[in-house]
Amino acid sequence: MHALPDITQLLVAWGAGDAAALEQLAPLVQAELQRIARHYLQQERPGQLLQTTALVNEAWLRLIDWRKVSWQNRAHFFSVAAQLMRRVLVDEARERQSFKRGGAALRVSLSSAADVPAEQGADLLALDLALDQLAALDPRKSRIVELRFFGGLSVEETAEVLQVSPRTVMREWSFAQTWLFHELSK
Amino acid sequence: MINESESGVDQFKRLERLYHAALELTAAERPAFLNQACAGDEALRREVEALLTAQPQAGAFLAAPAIEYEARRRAAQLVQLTPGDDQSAAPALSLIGRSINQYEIVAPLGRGGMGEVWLAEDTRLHRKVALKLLPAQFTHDAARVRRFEQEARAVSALNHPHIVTLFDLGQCADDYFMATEFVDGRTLRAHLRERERLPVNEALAIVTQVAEALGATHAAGIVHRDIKPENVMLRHDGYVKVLDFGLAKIGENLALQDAAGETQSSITEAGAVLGTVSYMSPEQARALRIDARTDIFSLGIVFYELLTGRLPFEGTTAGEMFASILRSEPLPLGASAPEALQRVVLKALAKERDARYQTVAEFAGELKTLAQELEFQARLADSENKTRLSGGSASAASAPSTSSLSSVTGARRAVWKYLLGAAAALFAVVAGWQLLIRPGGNFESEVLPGLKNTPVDGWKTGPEFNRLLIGIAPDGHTIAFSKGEHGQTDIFVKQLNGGEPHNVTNDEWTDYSPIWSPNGQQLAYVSTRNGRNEIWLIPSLGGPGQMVKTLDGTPRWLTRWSRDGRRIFYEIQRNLFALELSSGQVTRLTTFDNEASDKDYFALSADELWLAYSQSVDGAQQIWARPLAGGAPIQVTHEGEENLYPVWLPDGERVVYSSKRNGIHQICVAWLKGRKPVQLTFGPENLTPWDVSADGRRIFYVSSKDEANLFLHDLASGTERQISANLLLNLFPNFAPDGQAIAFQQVDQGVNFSSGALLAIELSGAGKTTRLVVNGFDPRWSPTGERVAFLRHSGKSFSLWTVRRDGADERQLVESNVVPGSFTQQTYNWTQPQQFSWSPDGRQLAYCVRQSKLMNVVVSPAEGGLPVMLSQNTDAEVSLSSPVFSPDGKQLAYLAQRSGEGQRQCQVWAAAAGSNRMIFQAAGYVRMLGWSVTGREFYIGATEQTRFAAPLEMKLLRLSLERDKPQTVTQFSNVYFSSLALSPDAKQLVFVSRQSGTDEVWQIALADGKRKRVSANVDPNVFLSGLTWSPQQNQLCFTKQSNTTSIWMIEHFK
Repeated sequence: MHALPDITQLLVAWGAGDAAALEQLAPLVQAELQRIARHYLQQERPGQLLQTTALVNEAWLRLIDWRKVSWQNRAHFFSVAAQLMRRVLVDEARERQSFKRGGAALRVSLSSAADVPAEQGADLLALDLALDQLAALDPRKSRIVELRFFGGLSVEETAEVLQVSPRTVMREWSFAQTWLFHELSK
Repeated sequence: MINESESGVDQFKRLERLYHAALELTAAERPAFLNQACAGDEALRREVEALLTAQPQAGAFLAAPAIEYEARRRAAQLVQLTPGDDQSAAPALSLIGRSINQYEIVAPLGRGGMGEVWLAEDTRLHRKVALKLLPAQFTHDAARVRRFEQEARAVSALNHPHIVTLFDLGQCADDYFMATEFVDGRTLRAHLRERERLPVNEALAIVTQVAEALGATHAAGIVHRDIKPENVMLRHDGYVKVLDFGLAKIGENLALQDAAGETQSSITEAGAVLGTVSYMSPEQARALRIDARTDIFSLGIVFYELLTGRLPFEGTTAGEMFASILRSEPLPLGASAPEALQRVVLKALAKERDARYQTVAEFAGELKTLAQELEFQARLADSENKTRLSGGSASAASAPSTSSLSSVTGARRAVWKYLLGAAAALFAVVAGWQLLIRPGGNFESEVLPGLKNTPVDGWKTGPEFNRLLIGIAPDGHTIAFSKGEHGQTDIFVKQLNGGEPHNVTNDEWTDYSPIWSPNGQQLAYVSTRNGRNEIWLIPSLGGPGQMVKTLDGTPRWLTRWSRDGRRIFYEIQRNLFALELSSGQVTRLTTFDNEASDKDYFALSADELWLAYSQSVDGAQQIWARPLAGGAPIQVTHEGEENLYPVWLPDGERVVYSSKRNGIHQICVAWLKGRKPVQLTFGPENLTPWDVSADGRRIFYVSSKDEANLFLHDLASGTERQISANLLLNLFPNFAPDGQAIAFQQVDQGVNFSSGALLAIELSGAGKTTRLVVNGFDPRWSPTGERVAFLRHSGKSFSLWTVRRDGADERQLVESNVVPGSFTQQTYNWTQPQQFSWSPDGRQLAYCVRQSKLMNVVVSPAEGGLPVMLSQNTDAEVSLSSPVFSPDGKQLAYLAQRSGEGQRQCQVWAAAAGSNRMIFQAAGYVRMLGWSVTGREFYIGATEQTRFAAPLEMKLLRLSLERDKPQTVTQFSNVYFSSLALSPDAKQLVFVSRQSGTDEVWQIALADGKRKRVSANVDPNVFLSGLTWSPQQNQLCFTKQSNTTSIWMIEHFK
């Protein structure tokens, strides 16, 4: 891989409670996001969402050197990676929110179907809060959303991490989706 | 709201249970269930109901992972508008993929002083538009913007062939945008940049067309104010279109301010201002009131620049520019320029308005007279020089090689020489470049003012699009049409005042050609069920249908429902029939011999007494009319070569039809007596009329456009890059041996793939494109990379040529009778010819010829010389194709096919010095793939299916030259026959497969049969073809093809 600080080890450290590791991780993740965004732009043909999603996700998962991660830890790693992504994105959104950007900012809403006319920063912050609420009511659903949305895991992978059946994940995911959508559109 | 106490958790669990239980029920069953289950807990019940209401929308929520949204957000931020000095340069960073209202940005088109222009797709109407984004600085004055809008709409309403049509104006967030007709061509500025200056006749043609556009707007009281080469578009077919009427108005103060304070402006901004200032009139420079004569002055400057390649008034700053415009006299055009031309230009450039042409009409009149004079002199000169200049580009294949484009190029430079005799050559060049020689082309037509073209509906289609037929209801407000989607064709009904089309048949059969009963309550249509063709009736609002008749034969369409409601007229095999609805009795109304008759496309007049049809006259399809009862026919049209699809207007005196004009089918109206036909549309797409409303005020027509663009797929990274972005068909990609360039063929419209421009595009850097030849077919790069071989279609025969990679030195190798191949005339995935090949050392070309009915394989030296025949075919039933050299160049494999009676037989032969033997034989179809590196094996794709339907089952076979039995390497299903492509090292195979409703590219490793999908495509109406390996095997190139069909209406027709 690159001659960069080892993301995998940093993740291990952060997952084990080393809060300082996040400071080193965040810029790495951001650099990667920027790279992915550029790559996204080079996808000259619009409308190929599926492919882009797959590419973006792969790029993200490639950050972690899985050879250094034992099989037992795999699930744990997915989990930590999803938390990391949530943390980085939400922190950034908070910063954007307080910064009050000018007119140049372009909106990208969380929903691809109905274009919710709101700044994404605000959406992400609201989602973060709603996820915390959900966690209080039903921790597993909150984790499912975290793994699926922030971690980019498939239903099967999520099921593997949580040690439940894919059917359960699907059922709970769809309920959580509806519940969060309803919460956020209140 | 649920609180976070213990009971909150319990309540949440109940909420979830009830939610899932209710979802299992129908909407009608839910209230009763919730009444009972919630047992008076109103809060809970409301919560469940709220979730159930949200559920349908929530599916899309968080559907893509956060990182995807984040990538998009960041991508959007990366995209910022950067000012550039080059007016036509693409914006440095990209808005591609972004949506502005219903417009999705596809590719950059350029930037002008007033903003950036992008090619975008209107996702509602599925048509391409040019989207101009105006920066906020131009649009903060709302009153000014409103005046501009009024003016722009007024200009667009003129429906003038030389004015770009405005579709939409509006605002989205901070962007003010204009969506206009997309003109597929380039600006006059870009044209000039390449050509320095233009021949007089071409300059005249362009300026006259601009003058015609200005004439129409001036008559409506609107002045353009900013005529310059950047605002004039040249379409591929030679049409000139003027852009941005009135747009200057909202920017002009700004430009003048900037010009005044030029020292503060950055260089680039000053450049943009200068660009406009250079074409200003003295009255604009003085900031006086302007009028129509201002445009005449600016057009005079453009004319001068086209003729001389320089501006009449020059200056390095805006101040100098103004001084020059106000005071200096332009230099003469040139010593050899004709006196008349000199006079016309100088009159347009008079400083005093009163000394100029007073109207554009006057100016245009002089231009036309001038054009006629020059043409007369050119013809005179031509007849005197006939022997020297024989053969134009019109029959390039038979002409001596000295008449090729490259050698005439020299003549192009001698601008004034045309008067002395080179005019014929110039004309040939202009024709080759598909530019008009005379203003307005060969079709003189008046323009009917006040017509409005309104889109009704549009969609992307697969190959089913030809089943589209439209009927307008008697009330004039509803249409019914048949539309193919996902292999199924149904009848749809749509209200014209809005609303989505409603599928009224919605079955698995092919339903087409709806017509309305006279009272509007029923629709009749043809339903094809298990090979039977039946006429069905159905309530027009939907409901169960009723079969009324099984027909003998396949009707092209239902022609009309009789006024008394009793009979339905339809056309089968070029004859008209009537079905009596009450008895089911069929009467044949015409007695044309369907074998011998060339009468086609029947239309029955509203009074059911006259028949209109298309019939050829001296090889040209003309519209005719004759009484149904018999009697003398009347020839309605007398111009053009393809006049098709007549539709009667209700008065029975006129016919609307489709007429091919300058290569594009346009809607025209013709009178049975006493008046010349009038062209009603002027767009770049092929149009077909289908029906006219009962009051004759609305004409419904369909536009259909095929597109194929090239994509480059990187196998290591899985990334894909679009390398052509236009509305043409870009076909047959072929890599240069160094993998740094791709040659391909560009075809305008229609399905005639056998001629088009051949281009070469560099894959690195700015993607420089070189035009190899104006007209060719199937380009193939030589192994040395120096030349490109291609076929050329001329008349009835194909010839074989090569051209240098820079487009120079075109050479004909084989004069005629080269076999073009059998799978090249069809759309979508069937279009990969492989009819000739280079020897590995680049010294020879192998191809097939047909002489005295017999086909044979021939090898010719690439430098010219005697051909050698390699096969000894004596059977006229056998066709030979696809000769492929072995890696050492010592053997040649080729395919022999025998169709004749019964099953199709395929044989693969291998020829070497002194030997020619068959190495494979089977029934079905074979695709030749290539040799193994050792040259001891040859790969083919074979299918036993003899009905050639795609996608199909195929086997990959390895034929050994040493053993007898072919080995099956692997098998696959749902594959497109002509997509199979073997890698240069013969270790990998790629192919296009359609398994789950969309075309995908797959790769197989021949060693272990492992396969993987290398490119996904999510659109069922996009078809992949032309799959080709790069010589380095790291990239694939292929085309994505699609067809866009849309229904339009012309309103306010009288």
